[in-house]
Amino acid sequence: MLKVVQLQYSTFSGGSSAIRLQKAFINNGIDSNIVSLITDEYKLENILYLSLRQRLVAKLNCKIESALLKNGNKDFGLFSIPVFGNDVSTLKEIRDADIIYIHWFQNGFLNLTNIRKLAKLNKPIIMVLHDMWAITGGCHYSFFCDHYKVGCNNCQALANNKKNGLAAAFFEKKHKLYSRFDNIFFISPSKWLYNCAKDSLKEMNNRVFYIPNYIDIALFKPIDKKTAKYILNIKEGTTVISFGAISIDDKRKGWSYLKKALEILKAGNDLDDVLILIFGSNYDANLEKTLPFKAKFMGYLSDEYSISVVYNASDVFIVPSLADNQPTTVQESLCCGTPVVGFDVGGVSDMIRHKENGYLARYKDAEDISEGIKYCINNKVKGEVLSSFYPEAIIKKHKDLFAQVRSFNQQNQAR
Amino acid sequence: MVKVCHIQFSMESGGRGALRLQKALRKSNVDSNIVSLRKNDQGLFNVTYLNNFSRLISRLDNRLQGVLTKNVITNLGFFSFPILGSNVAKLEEIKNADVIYIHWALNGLLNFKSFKEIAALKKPVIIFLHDMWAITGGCHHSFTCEKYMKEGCNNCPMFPSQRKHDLSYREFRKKSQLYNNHDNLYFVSPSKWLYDCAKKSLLTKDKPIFYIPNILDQTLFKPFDKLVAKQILSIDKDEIVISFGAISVGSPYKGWPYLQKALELLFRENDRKNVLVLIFGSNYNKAIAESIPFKTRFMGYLKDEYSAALIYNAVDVFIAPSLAEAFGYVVMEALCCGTPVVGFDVGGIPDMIRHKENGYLAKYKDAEDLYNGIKFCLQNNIKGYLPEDLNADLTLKKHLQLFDNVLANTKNSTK
Repeated sequence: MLKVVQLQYSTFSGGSSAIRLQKAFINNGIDSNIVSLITDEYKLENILYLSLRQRLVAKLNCKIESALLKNGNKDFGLFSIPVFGNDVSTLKEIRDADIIYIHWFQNGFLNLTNIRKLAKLNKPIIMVLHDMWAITGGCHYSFFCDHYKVGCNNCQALANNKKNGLAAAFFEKKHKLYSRFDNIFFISPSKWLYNCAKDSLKEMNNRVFYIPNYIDIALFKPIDKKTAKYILNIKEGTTVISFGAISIDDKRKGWSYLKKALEILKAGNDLDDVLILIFGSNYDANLEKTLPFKAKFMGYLSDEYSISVVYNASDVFIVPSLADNQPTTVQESLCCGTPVVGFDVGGVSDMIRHKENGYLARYKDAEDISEGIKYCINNKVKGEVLSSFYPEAIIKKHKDLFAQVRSFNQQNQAR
Repeated sequence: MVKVCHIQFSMESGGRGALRLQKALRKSNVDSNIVSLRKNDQGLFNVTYLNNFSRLISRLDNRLQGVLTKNVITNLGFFSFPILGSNVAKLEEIKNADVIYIHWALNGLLNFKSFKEIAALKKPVIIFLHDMWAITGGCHHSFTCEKYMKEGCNNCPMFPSQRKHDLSYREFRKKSQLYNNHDNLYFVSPSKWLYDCAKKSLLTKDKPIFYIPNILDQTLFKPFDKLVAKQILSIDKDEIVISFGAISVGSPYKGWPYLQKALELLFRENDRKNVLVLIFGSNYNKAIAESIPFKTRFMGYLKDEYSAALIYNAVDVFIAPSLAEAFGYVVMEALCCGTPVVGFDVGGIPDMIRHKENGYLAKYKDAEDLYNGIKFCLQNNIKGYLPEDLNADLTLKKHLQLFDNVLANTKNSTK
């Protein structure tokens, strides 16, 4: 039986794509383990959690990283230059594996030297691009900057944008690593990032693949909307507009556009009895004050069952991100039959068919977002996931990839 | 406005009682905080976590207790005698409170010294009886032993040494001193059974004791369309779902052998083959799965109350085979979701189950009667409901009255 090991920083919330993939692998006769840095309080099966010492290394790394980056431009969001990391190449889980998946590994889980060590094991390594980091000099989203296509320099996210600064150095390091080891492959879950990766990794173009994230449609599926609303104590007939918790300061998440769109909606007085449902946030008085409608804060939901109920209780889901890879929320909402309104950007465009299962608004146009909300509600648009995102299709892509990377590896070893 | 500060070891499993009470109190405008040892990642409000030093102390205490009680007879359950603890009386939250409410605070959170420091603040201190520990020399359940109400604990059946002046004797005296030295201590029992025990215990018989059941948010735990609940969990609508909470097979409190026997008896009946056994709060457990003749499904660790309510709703009959139970929150949760409960006539369970009306009270330790109960509920299509006297509003009112009482008492005694 084929054995896969997946490296993932933590297994809650953001880590769910690794866990979902693992469950799918196991159900399809592929053995899978996860190695994770952060321990979950309820330990899950087939997951190895690293030790306290390794978490300390990670903490130290975070301190140093933030000291090095303290004068950077925060508008560019997260920026990572891993200094310390943990050598995991000697773990039994890694040794026994045929294929190594690397998901999110920042915050001191792994550094580039650790990746090199893994690559030296001569097993195929598949890096899942959860954002742009693996193909840039350190930013997780480059926004309009396209230096990563030619080699990062003069980085605008860093304080003193010297030609050969930290970003340039890390860009070099990454490229050296990738060209030295041709057993490193890349998966992008969105077409947008797939194209970015091809632009950045020109010589390794044939090692980049497009496979969307896996989602279990037996878990996320449409149920009776009335019952879903009843479960959450929402009155029948209420128009429920929902979105995920947004840090108001994170420009990438597009809070200002969403807020404006809601204000336009309120001013137009087009919808009756609107309730705003906010995922993943406890009651926030400041946020509530700025909202023109009644709001209900769902708190931090951890279980997929309850999350699925919340999508089902929603009439429309909004994702106002200005840059995004393949937001799981969009996929989840569509699977639950709830239409999604978002900007025509990143992986959002892969999943939404304009006016069919949602609405693709013009980039950075708040008014078009409010149009989208109205359109979906007035036309009773049903969310639906496109067939290319079906679980079987995704698993098949992974299996095809396995065959490909293994034969690639064998050829190279034979040479 | 009354300010209440709760002290509670952790917010998980048993800790939900404190959290639920706090939430209910805050909803009715009682300022209420929790001081807790173990961190929780759900982003709760008004919870103060103690520092790493306190957590270290707690760990040490656990180790010490473990070593010193390694000879206890484990089929009589747990025995606790706090050695180390933290001084929480100096915390602002405690100092500012009018009433201090101690829930589960063992495992190295509080020792006798910490109790004294709290009591010395001269504020009313309410001690919630999660089990028998506060009224015995150290066991959490005395089972058939009545020494705590007759001559006072000595020669404890949990210790093989059979010395008269053993640990239970010394601990009993310590507790007695603590209780006698302070007239600001009040006791709350969530069940009538434990209330009676406390009334008879030599430690507490002259102390003010109140019977107030646990509180549950009935807007969260409520019945809805069973078919939708089954659909969400991908359970066939014709399947009969029998469920119980995760049981450690060897626990003397939980009664696993009786449940197993009852399920076997059910299996022998020819017309009950389309049964699915659903197990809460546990990942796949081979020992349990293999000793149940029916199909099993392990629900894993679910964190959200919505998902718990969902599962209860999908269940046709819930079994609580506990042999010792101070209250039995799962019984209350299931009943509130309209699911009948079968349990032994022991501890707090008879407070909640009305025999053959909302469930079935089986004869103690009689597996066959447990089986009769399952059959009875299924055949007669029994609906679960919460008896009126356990209604959340009523419970809340009782608590508010209690706070008034104890505050008035304290005023009078300081005059």
